[in-house]
Amino acid sequence: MMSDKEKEERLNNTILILKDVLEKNNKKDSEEYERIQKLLKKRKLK
Amino acid sequence: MKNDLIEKKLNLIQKLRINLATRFPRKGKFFSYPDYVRDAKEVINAYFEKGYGKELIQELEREDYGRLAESFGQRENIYEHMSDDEKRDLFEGYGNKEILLCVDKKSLLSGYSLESSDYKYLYLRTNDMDYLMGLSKEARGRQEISELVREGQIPQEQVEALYDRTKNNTFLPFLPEKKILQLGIDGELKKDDYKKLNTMGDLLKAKLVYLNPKAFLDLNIQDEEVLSKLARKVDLNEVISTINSSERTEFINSRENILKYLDKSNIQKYVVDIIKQSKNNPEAVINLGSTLVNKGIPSELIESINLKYAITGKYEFYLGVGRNIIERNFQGKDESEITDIKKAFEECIGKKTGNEREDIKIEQEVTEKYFNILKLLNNERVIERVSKEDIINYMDSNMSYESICNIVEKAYGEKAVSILRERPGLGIIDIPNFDIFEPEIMDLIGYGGVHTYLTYFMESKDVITEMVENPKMIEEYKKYRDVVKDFYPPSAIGLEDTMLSFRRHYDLLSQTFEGEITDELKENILLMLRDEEFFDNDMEVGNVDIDNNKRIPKPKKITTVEQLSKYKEIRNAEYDNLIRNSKTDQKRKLILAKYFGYISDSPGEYNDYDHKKFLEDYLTFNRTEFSDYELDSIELYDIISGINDDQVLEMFNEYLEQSQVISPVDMKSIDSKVIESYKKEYLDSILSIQEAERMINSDRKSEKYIEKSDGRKIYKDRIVSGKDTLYNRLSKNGELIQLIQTSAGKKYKCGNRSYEIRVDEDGKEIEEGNKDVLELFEDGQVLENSMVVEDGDVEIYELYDVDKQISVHAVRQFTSADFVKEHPELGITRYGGAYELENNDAEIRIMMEKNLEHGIASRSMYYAFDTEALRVEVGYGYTSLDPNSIIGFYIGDARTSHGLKRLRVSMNTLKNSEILSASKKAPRSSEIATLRYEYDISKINPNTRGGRNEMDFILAMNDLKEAKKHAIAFSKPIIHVNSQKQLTNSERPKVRQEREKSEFIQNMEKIADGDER
Repeated sequence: MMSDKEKEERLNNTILILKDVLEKNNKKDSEEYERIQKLLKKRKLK
Repeated sequence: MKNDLIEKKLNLIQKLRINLATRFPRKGKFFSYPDYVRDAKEVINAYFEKGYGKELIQELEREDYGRLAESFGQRENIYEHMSDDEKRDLFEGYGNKEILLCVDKKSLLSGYSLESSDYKYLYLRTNDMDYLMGLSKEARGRQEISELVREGQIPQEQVEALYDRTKNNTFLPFLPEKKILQLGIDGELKKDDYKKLNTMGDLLKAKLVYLNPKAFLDLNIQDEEVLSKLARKVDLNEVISTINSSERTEFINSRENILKYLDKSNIQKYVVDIIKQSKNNPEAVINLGSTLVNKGIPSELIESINLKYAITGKYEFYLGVGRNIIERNFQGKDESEITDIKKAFEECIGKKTGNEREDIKIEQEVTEKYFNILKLLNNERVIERVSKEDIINYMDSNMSYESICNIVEKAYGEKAVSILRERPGLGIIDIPNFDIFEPEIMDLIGYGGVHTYLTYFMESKDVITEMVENPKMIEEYKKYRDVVKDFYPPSAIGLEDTMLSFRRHYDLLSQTFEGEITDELKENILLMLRDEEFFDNDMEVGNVDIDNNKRIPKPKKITTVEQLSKYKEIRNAEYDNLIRNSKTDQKRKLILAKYFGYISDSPGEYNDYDHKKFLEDYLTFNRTEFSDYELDSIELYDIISGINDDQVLEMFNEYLEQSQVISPVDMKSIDSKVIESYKKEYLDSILSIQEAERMINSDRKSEKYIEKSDGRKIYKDRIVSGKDTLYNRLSKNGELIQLIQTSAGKKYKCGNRSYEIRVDEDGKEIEEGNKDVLELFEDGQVLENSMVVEDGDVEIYELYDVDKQISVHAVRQFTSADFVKEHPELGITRYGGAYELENNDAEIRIMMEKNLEHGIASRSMYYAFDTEALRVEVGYGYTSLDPNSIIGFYIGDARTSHGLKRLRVSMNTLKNSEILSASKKAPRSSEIATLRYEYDISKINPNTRGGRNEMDFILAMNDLKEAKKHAIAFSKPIIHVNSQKQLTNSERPKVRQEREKSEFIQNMEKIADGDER
C-alpha cells in the first residue's frame, strides 16, 4: 500500500498535469484554470 | 511424407548413422539415438523385426516419446504388448494418451470396457474420425463390430452398447483431451457434434462450453461442482434466453440442476410455462413448487406465478409445498414422527374455518409463517441435531423466542445461544438463517458479525449458507478479507460488501489463492473491485438507453489469474479505447472513473451528491475531519467534472498515463469518508421518541380532514399518475367488498353481486348492477388497498390507524426496486407480494405480503406528504399489533440545508443517544455509524422488537440535492416526486421556524383542506 507521502505526490502530479494541459489548450481564462491555480497555491506548488 | 522430408535434409553422416542403426539394432539402444535416427522408419522396422517392439512401446509411456506412437502403431499392434494394468490405465485416461493414436482400432473396440469411465474419451464428428481412424459411417461401424464379434474379439454382451455408440453416423474414436479442446478452439465442432459429445466427462464438456457458450444447450453437465464453476465463468442465462419457450421447458426439465444458476427472468419464464401446462392441476403446481424449492428457487417466485394463473390459492400452495418438504427432508424417519411434524406445521400455518375475516388473515400470514418454519425444516444440520419434540415445540409456540433459543442451543451449543440470549427482543423474522450460529461461521465473522446478521438485512446471508456447505470457502474468505481489509470499512456494510464481492469473484479468487498473493495481485484485486463499482453502478453503463443512445459497455469479467496479474494494463487499455470512442460527457466520466473510481456526479441522476456542494458544506460537518489531502482530492475531482473540451480531456488522459498520478483506490477511502459524514449528520438529525410522540398525540385535536359525518374514518384512494388503476377491499358485516377501478371505470364486487360504472364508446356513463354493493363499499371498513404500478407511478392516499384515530395523506412512488423488471406483466415485490394483470381487461390487483392490520399498510414503505417524507411501519412480522409496536413515522424536511429531519414515532424505537450507547457495547463490525437501513437502528437495543426492513428508497420532494446526499449515504435510489412548489432560499428560515411549531400538523391540515397535487 502507498504511503501518505506517495499519495500526496500522486495528487500533486495530477494537479500539475491538469494545469499543464489547460495551459497548452489556451484555457487560462477558464474557471477550471482559476480553481487549479488556487489549488496549486494552497498546496504550495508551482 | 514426414520421413521423406527429413531424409532430404540429412547429411551424409546422419544417413550413415541411420544405416548403422538399421543394420545393427541393439537392446536398450534405440532411445539413445538422436531424433533423426529414431524417426527413421527403417530403424523402427529393424527394431521391431529384431523383437524389441515391446521394449520400445513400454518406453512410449514417457511423454516425450509420444510422437513415435504413430510409427510404432503402423509397425505392430501396440495394444498386444500392453499389460492389463497399462490397458486399464489407458482406458481410464491415466496412461500415455499418445498411445491411443497408435493403438489399432480393433484392439480399442475389444479392450474398451463400457463399464470403465469414458471420462477422457469422446465422439468426434465424422470428418475428424475419418482422418484419424478411417472409419466413420454407422454401417461401417456396425459391420466392423460384427466382424470383431465373429472373430471373438468383442464379448457378445458389449455389442448393444457398442452399437449405441455408433448411432448418428459416429463411431468411437478416442482422442486425447487436448485434441478435443483444440477442436473447440478452432471452431471445428458444430451443433450436432456437441450433442454427440455428451458421453465425455463433465469437466471436458464445461471446457467446451467455456470455449463456445452456445454448446451448453447441447451438453448435459451433471457434476454440481463443475456446473457451479462454469456458471461463474459463462453467462448461462444469456445462452438460455436465446431459445424459445418449448425449447426452454424441455431443456430445463432435462437439466434441473441448472435451475439455481438461472436468473429470475429465465426462471420466471420457465415456471410460467410449467404452470400454464398444469392448468386445473393444483397438485402439479404444488409438486413443482416443492421440487424447485429443493433446487434453491424461492417459493415466493413460484407462488406469485401460481397466483397469476390462479391454479391454487396462496394458502393451499404453501401448505402443500411445506408438507412435501417435510416428507422429503424427514425421509427415513419414523412415519409417526413425520405425521406429527406435518401436523404441527399445519397448525402453525393455521386452518381455515370458513369465517371470511379470519381466513383472509390466515391467507395473509401464510407466506411469512411458511418461510420462518422452513428456516428450521430446510436446515439439514438442525434437523439432525434437534429432537422431534423441539421441532414441534418451535412450531407449536409459533416460533417463539424461547423455542428458537432452544433450537440454537441444541444444534449449535452454548456459545451460539449466549449471543441470541443477548437479544431477547428478537423474533424468528430477525434470524436470517440458523447457519450464522455454525461454530466455524461464528469464528469467522466473530461475535459482532453474528449480531450484525441479527441486526441488518444482509443479502450475504446466503453466502454464509454456502460456506457451511463448502467449508473450503471459509479459508479462502479469510485470505480475501486480508486483501480487502482497508478497502471495505470495518462495519456491517463492509462485512456485507466483503462477503458479496468474495462470492461474486469466488472462482477467480479461489484460483488466485492457490498461489502466492503478491502485492501486485492484491493491488489489482482492489483496482478491479473499484472499477466494478463504476461499471455496476453508473447510470450510463449498459447497452442502450431509452432513446437508443449508445451507453458505456461493460468490460469482460476477469476470470483467470493471468488476466488478474495484468489487470492494470487490461483496464487501462479498455478505458482508453472507450475514452477515444466516446462523446464529451462520457469521455469525462470515463477519465474520472479511470483515475478516481466511481463517484456518481451527474446532476439530476440517482445516487448523486455534488462535490462542490460538499466542499461548500464541509464546515457544517462538525464530526468528521478531512485532511487537506482529502479535500484537495475532492476539489480536483470537482474541477475535472467541469471540463467540457474534448481536446483537453484527451490530452489530460494521455499525460496522466505517463506519470504517477491519483488512483481509484486512493479515492475510495476519501469518498467513503464523505458518505460517512452524511450518515453521521443524518443520525444526529433523528428526533427523540418522546418528542415525536408529543407531536403525533397533539395531532388528535386536528382531525378535521376525516370527513365522515358519523365520526367514522373512511379514506379514499386516488392515483395521480401511471395506470390509474386501483383495487380496494373492504368488509362490512363480515362480507368482503372489492373495488376495481381503472381509467375505464369502476366495478364494485361483493360475492356474486356487482355494480359497475363505466364509460361507453360514445363517452356516456353507464351504471349497471346492484347498487347495494356500492353502499356497502362506502360503509365498509378497509381491509386492504392496493394498485398496479409501473416504475415511477405515484399514488396518493390516506393512511388510517383505527386505534390511534390518526389519519394522514401520503404520496408514495413506486420504483423498479420494488418489482422484478424483466417481466412486464408480472412483478414481485421485494417482500414477496405480487401483483397481477388478469386478461388484459384492467382488472388488476396487488397482493402485498403483509396484512393491513388496522387499516394501515403493514409493510415498510416510504411516503411523502407535502414537503415531508414519511415512512410507515406497522407491526412487521406480527400477527396482531402490539400497542407498543405501532406505527413508525419518519417525517423528513427536505428543505433544510442538509439532512432530512426525521421524526420517528415508533414506540419501540429508541432515541439517538440510546442507540449510540448501545452500539458502544458492540464490536466494530456492528457500530451504528455504519447503519445501513435506518429502521434497523431500533434493533440495536436488545429490548426492542424492532423490524428488519430494508429502506426502499430516499424520497425527494423539493430539494433533490439534499435527498441525494442521503441516497448516496444509504446506497439507495432517489425517488423524486414532482409537483411540489419550489422553495427559495429566502423562505427557508421561515420554514424552519414553522417547523418548530409542528410542520407535521400543518401539512396534514393543508392536505385535509383539499390542497390537491
